[in-house]
Amino acid sequence: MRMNAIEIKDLSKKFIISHEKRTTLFEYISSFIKRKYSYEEIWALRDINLKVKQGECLGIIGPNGSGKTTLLRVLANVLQPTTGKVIVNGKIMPLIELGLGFHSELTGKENVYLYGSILGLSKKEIKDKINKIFGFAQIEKYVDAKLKNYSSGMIMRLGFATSIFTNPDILLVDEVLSVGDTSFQRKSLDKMKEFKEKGKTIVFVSHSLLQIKLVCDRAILLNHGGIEKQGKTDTVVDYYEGKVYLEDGKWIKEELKRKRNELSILKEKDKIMQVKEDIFELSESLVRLIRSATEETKDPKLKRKLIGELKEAL
Amino acid sequence: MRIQKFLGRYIKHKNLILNLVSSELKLKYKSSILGFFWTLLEPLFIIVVLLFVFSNLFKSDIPNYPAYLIIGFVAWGFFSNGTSILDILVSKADLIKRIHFPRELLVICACIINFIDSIFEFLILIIILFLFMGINISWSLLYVPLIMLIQFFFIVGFSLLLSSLYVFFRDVKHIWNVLLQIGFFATPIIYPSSLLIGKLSFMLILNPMAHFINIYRSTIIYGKVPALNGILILCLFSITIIFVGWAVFKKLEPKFGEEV
Repeated sequence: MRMNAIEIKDLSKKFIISHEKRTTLFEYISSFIKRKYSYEEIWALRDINLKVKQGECLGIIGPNGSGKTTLLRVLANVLQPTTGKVIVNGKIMPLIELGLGFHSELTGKENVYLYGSILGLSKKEIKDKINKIFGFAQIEKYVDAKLKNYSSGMIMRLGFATSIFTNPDILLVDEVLSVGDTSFQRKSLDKMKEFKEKGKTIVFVSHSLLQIKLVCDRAILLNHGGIEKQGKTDTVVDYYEGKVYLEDGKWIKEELKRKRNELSILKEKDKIMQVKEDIFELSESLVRLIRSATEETKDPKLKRKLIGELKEAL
Repeated sequence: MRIQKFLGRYIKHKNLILNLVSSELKLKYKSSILGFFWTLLEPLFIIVVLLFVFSNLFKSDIPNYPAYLIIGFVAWGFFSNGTSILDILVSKADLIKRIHFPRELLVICACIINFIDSIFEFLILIIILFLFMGINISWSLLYVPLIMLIQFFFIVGFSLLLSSLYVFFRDVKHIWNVLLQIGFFATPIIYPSSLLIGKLSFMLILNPMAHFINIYRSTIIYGKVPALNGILILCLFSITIIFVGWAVFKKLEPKFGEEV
């Protein structure tokens, strides 16, 4: 029986966004006296229950604002849960938006020493690994150059390399791969697979469904802070893609309707031509959408539903 | 046992403390030509100016007035510069929002850097007083580092308190600047402590900085070994403020990730 690397029980996270900014004491007191609190409660995460086994790779997908980053930050122990519990077994390492905590006036090497020690490495460990880190980041030549002379891609790669060489038990990956070029992305994905083979746990957030499919065994779909769907990666990704197809289809449907209405009113010849062209293009993209939806969706029930809805739009 | 565990945590982070301090020091002097020498030159110039102004322009009945005054200035500077780093947590927001590590280390390291600066200031101060003011070098000077260490903990306590409050109320900075100004004049730095008698004597007794400065003066100017109960009083002040600062910091820490 493998142990759970991560165990999340009834986790909810509430953010209080005050409309009038209350960061000064005076504002705080005045709003307290007036008894007028103008704020909004946002539940970034709602009743999340999740277990991630050791050696498993969990993918997290979902639209913007669905709570993916918040979930990672709670796991990284940077945010405290409002309710519920998070149990983490092992050393956890976030790879969230790298390149932070770097000083532009210091050299690359000095930065790695500083960043590595923030991530919990000892001096000896960093010394042993520094060549590998710069090698992985492909910037061996610039070890002693000041960081301000690095390109943003180089800084990002250096950050990724440093964190990955801290040898964590659990790796949290948030969108970092989208910043690098394709060759570095491949290299990073390979490194993540290597990680998995060593029996380490990965939680991977990405908008690239392909990357999720390549690395993850299991996935969850977050929506409005809740888990909408979880299961095998293919099933969840299919479901999500289907949803996206449907939404795209709906949008095209609306757009087509609007253009058709426009067409019935218009009188000028060249404008009519223009709108007709638009309609043609929209229909074409709808057809393309149907084709890819039928090709890529494996679940027959979902497939039928998708095709039905999309054809109706035509 | 608890203390052992507590200290063990910091020994584990020894490398982080070392790197934070050394990289800040490197940054401080990296782009200047004289580099590290500024640590010595800056206090040297300031002390020489003060010495010139107060030994020629202002006269006082206090014996050794320039020495008396400059010691007060330097000791006060140690405190006021040390506690002015209260925005350290907010300025490292990027780090705090992303990675979990003991956040108090940021505050402690900023205090250590200030401590190092002050050590050089005191060193220069003592050398100048020896060369120009006829102050004797005596064994009692060995107590100065001890008192500085106690004052360092005093400053760490204040910094923990202020920096964690600053995350939530940005007014703290302005309020603290005003309080520092008031404190400067409420402490016998430019005037003799004998002015604070009768009704005002509470200002002397309850003001920790007055205690620190008095002990510095009697040790450096008169070569007196500080009395044990004097040192115990300093320790009491430091321990109290460390406990308060620590408690407030730990209470507020879980919310740092959202508020910085």
